[in-house]
Amino acid sequence: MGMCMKAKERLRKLAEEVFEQFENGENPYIEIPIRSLRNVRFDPEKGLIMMGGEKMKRYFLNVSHAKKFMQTLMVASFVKKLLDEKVTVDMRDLFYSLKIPIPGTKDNVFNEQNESDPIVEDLEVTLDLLREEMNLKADKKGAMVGDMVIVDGGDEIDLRRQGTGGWSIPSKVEQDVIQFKEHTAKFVLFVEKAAVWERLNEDKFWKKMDCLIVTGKGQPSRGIRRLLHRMRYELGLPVIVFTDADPWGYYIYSVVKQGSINLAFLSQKLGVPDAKFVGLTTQDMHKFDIPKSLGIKLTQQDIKRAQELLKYEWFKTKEWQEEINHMLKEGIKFEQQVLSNKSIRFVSETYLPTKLEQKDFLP
Amino acid sequence: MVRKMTIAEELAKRQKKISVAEFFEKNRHLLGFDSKPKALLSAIKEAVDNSLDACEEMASEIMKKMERLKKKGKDISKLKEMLREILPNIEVRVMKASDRWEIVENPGPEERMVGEVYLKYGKIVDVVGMKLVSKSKEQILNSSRRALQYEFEADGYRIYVKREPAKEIPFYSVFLSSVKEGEKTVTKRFSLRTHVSRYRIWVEDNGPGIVKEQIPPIFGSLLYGSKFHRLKQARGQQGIGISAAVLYGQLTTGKPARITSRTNEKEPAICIEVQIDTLTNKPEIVFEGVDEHFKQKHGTRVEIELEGTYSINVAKFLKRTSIVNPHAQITLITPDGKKHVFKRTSTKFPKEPKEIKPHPHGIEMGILMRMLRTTKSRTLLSFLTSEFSRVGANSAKHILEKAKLKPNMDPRSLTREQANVLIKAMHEANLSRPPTDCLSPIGAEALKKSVYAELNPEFVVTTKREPNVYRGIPFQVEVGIAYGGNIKEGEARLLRFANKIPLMWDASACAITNAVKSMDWRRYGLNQPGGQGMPSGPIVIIVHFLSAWVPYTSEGKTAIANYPVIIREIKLALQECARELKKYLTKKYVMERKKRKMFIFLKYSDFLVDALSNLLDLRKEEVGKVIKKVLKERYGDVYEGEREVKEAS
Repeated sequence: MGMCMKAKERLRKLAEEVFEQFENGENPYIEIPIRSLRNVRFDPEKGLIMMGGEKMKRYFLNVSHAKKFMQTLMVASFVKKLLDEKVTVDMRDLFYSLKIPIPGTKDNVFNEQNESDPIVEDLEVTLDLLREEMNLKADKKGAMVGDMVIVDGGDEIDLRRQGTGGWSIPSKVEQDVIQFKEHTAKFVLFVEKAAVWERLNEDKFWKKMDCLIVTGKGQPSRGIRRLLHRMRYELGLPVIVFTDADPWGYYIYSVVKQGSINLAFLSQKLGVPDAKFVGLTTQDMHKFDIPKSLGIKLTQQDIKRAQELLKYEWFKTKEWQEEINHMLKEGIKFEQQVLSNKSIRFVSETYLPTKLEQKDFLP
Repeated sequence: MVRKMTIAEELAKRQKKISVAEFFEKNRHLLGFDSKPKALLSAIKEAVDNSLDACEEMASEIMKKMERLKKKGKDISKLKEMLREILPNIEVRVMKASDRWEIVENPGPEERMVGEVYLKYGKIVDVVGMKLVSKSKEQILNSSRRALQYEFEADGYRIYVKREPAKEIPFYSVFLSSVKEGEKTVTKRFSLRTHVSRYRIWVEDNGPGIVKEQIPPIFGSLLYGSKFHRLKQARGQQGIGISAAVLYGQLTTGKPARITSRTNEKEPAICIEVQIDTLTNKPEIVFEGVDEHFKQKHGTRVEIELEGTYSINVAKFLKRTSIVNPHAQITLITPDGKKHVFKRTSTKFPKEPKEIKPHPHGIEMGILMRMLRTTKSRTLLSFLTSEFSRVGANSAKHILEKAKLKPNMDPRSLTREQANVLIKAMHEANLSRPPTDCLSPIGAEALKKSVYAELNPEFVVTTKREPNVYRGIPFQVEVGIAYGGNIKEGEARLLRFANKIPLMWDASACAITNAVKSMDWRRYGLNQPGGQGMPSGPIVIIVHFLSAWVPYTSEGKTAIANYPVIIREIKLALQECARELKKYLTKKYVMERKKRKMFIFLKYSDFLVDALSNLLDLRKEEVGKVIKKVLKERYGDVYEGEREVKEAS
């Protein structure tokens, strides 16, 4: 209840400020911390991407701001209703609830979910509230198995007995929902692709290597990242990341490790600064004798993204610069599944054990 | 009332030994009769000029009388009434005089001519190659009524020609194809082709009318009553006069001109058919009678039949004439029966231009020579002081000293060499400028009103410059720019006028065009590809040049000569207008932007009201009032009524 009151109070304050400006005949604005590369900096000591102090003013009487201004208050108003009615909805529900036609136009308050999601994030940083505190949740899309027992919403769940699909990670993984019980795992392996995770699960890789395996099905949600963070700092388990050998895979790793530009304000709650990268790297083609012909040619976008990565502060280690430059030089990228070319179980029986054994990681 | 021109007169003099017909043939291009479309328009132009002049001359007589009566303190209401009645009301009709139809089977490259029909004023006079079957040939030929449909027979096919109904002037345009009679019905494609080359023009006015004795010489004699070199702002400086049109019609069709005129309400209108004796340049009366049906209380109607081609330029010309003659109402009935009315927008007659004496700075050798020959002055000194403006005894003495000529010399005795020295001294003399009160501009307000009425634009700006002088001759420039409304996008249209006459040809040689093209219109917020040439946009530019003597580039009198002072005056006037236009466009742009902005805020404000009232637990009306107040404060000038506006896309 206390959390709900805090959220309601802050929403009210936001609205009061806007209304006061209207009453004074001013052009009303909302001050929003900037969530872009411009306003983040890499803190090398903490190993995290941190948000800076820059803020922008979103005005109502400004043609290019007006719609977003209205959208921000519409989302705030919607959140107030959620809090009043004590219901929790996901981001898609919010989008559909606010896909309201604007009379006299073909426009809607929101036309796409990719318009409403950033507005929610704006509100989070403006009000310093997590979306969970605003009764909003993200889509759940991750899975985990391994040698551990947890309590999820009061139910005890044995992660050793979760079949082929694994335990699906909810969007809210805070202490009040998820508690860790007993475990024997020595580390957590985060896998980018669900198909590779399924291979590892079928081969009982977690049992053999004594670990937990987690997949995020692409870019991990905040719930997964929060869970990885908790496992690292509450259970002391090292986090090791396994992605495709391409700029997008590398960026997933960096998000798990240092946080993202967009959610820099949450880095301290989500980041795992000492996470390690096990693979795939393009340099592995030499170590494991993978024919270059199995690689996929880099697209223009890949090259552009790789060059951007080279410039990010947190990729400026010798090893990463070497790896990314190698990828650019060869002009190819590899998918995790390329290892199946050797044999179906190559990934679980040879590749990962060898690299983990040799501690052949990128920082 | 008939205007003359020096050059034509000179030409006529030089060619005295040959007939006027020959003279005309050789100089068609100078007289405006060198092509069929131009010939038809020139004839109309001469007649309309005459009508306008006649009304204006009578008006000025009446006004003079009014002045006199007013001074004596007498009642002038009757004269006022007369003045109203004499406001020009001119009706121009162009009728097809004779047509030839060609009936063609299977139109296209394989076509075959089936038959021909000859018509006069819409009535069939002869049929060749076909049989007229709807009525007997004689019946139709003798009938005074025109049938609505004709039926012909050729090669066993029935061919129908229909007259388009509901048109004032007979016009057969629709042609129906055919059916074969007999056991089987076969339809073949026919088409009708009309060949028109003969028109009758008809120009009727409500002017004072012309007395019977004056009609033959005015219409039946080239250059009748010519006075040379009148320095007065006048329409007639352009063109040779109505008699040229009469002669042209006579030469191309063999028909005399018909003039119907009434000078007094109580008497019937007289009707005279007149032609020109092409050997002696004397009028020949072909017919003389009365016209019981003439509808004007007083006025004149001129009818001339001629070879010509009707084009859209006729309507354009009359429309433009109407723009610079706001006091005139001009009606046009086209050959296909369409009626255009170019409305009167002012009930005030323009001030009558004054005739002035030439200024020594602008005098030319030929003119000086003739003035010397014809002057009534006995001495050179009095010649200079009495025949020129701005020359007093002192300046005259000064000029003669410089020319080393004796003041008491007989002007008629000067040799060409002496005249040469004199003209040089005259040009160099230090004299005050000629008087400029001799010009009669339309006036910025009247021009604006007229442009609004004729072009129906969104915005008009007009300006009138103060008179200036080129080569000793006063001139003045009036300019208007019309924007938007009914005016189409694209390259700006330029309407040129000289002494209230539209200039229709030779745009590229004209000082007006050059002035317009040399302006940097982009500085005034208009598009101008490349920064020179005509600007583009929904714009019409109107330039009226008026002068006691319009310096045309050639005898064709279609373009104004490029004197720097003239170009400068036109540009200054254009710039004045363009600045106003820019102000208007900027304001319009700002308002439109503001409106667009306003609309955006307005369409979101309902949602803001919802959101804020929910967040603050306030009533919607309360929040709505506050938001509306802010919008009104900032956008009050565009706020009202905008609620109804729907976004276009």
